[in-house]
Amino acid sequence: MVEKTIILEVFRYHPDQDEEPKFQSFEVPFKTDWVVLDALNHIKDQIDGTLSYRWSCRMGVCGSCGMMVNGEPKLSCAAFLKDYGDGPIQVKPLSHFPVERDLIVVLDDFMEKLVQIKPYIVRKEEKSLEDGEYRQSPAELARFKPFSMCINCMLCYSACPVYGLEPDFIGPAALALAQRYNLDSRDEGREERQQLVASSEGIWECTFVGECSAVCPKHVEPASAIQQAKVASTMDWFKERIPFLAPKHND
Amino acid sequence: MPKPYKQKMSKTWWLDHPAYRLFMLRELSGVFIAVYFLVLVTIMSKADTPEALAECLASLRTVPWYLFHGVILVFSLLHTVTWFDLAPKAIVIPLGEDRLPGIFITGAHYVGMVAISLTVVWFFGVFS
Repeated sequence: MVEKTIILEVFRYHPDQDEEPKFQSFEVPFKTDWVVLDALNHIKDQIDGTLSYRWSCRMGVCGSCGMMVNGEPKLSCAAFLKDYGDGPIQVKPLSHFPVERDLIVVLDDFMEKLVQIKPYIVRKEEKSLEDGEYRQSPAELARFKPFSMCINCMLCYSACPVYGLEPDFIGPAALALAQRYNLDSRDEGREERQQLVASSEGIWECTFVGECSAVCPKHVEPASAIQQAKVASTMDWFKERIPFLAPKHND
Repeated sequence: MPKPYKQKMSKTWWLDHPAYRLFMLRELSGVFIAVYFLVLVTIMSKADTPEALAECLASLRTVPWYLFHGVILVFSLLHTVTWFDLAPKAIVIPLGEDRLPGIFITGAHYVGMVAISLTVVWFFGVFS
């Protein structure tokens, strides 16, 4: 019996040899339990060892293997070959990012933005160990928990046309993480983040296309986080101008 | 030093995906609503007497104006439905460990729209 196969059209770019990228076709075995990452591993192991791509956990946790599969941002470890009919399947690096080589993109821009939004708990004054832990109720946890599931796979950046058109845009994942910490009852860093979050490169650049949420493999809903941050920033504007809305300071 | 390849974004990126097309139609609907607003303001500025208003309204009873209003209606409905559907993403009402289901927030928008529309109609004396 002849083994069923499927064609993968893979984006190839070698920075030292190519001026422009090209597509290379590979015929790989079609197995119903194979994902695109399995097919790429087959190519690298059996056909062309020079093919370059990132991957690690193979279980949708590490966020390393994001690629454009037939034009959609996908974790290649979660994109089953059987969902693409008889093929061919086109595999490209994540959109909007510079390509280092083949399917590997340059992450520097995202990493710099991620650091800028301070994705960690900021305290004005740390409690001493004797004062005990920072307690949090299940209801307080529920407010930010969905936004904390981000695995930094950057599929949302590839799905966001605003990021493609305006590379200065902080972008969906970083802004969702900013909102995650702003909503955390233990955090006191909102004011520090707000300078960037509420800037023209921040939430107000978002035009609410909503595809960042649609492609997120962890259902983080960055579009929701950004809109909630817009509502909160708008409330800030009113609080500054309407005295009885202003927060009361005890000091 | 290796040179990364800069991926280009096509000028017709918004045709590449159904979600982008719907987004662009939603954005475009704002233009149609703005145009309708200008028509409405023009009528209001000219129709300063009942006779002038009747004349204005009579001049709108032509096929091109019917088509114009039909297109405006379609885009207004598109804007309303797509925007109200997105409202639960922006408005979160916590209920303990859960949140108010989005259907209530979208529903409240429709109730508000009907209430405001009826108020405006009542204010201009349509029911009297």
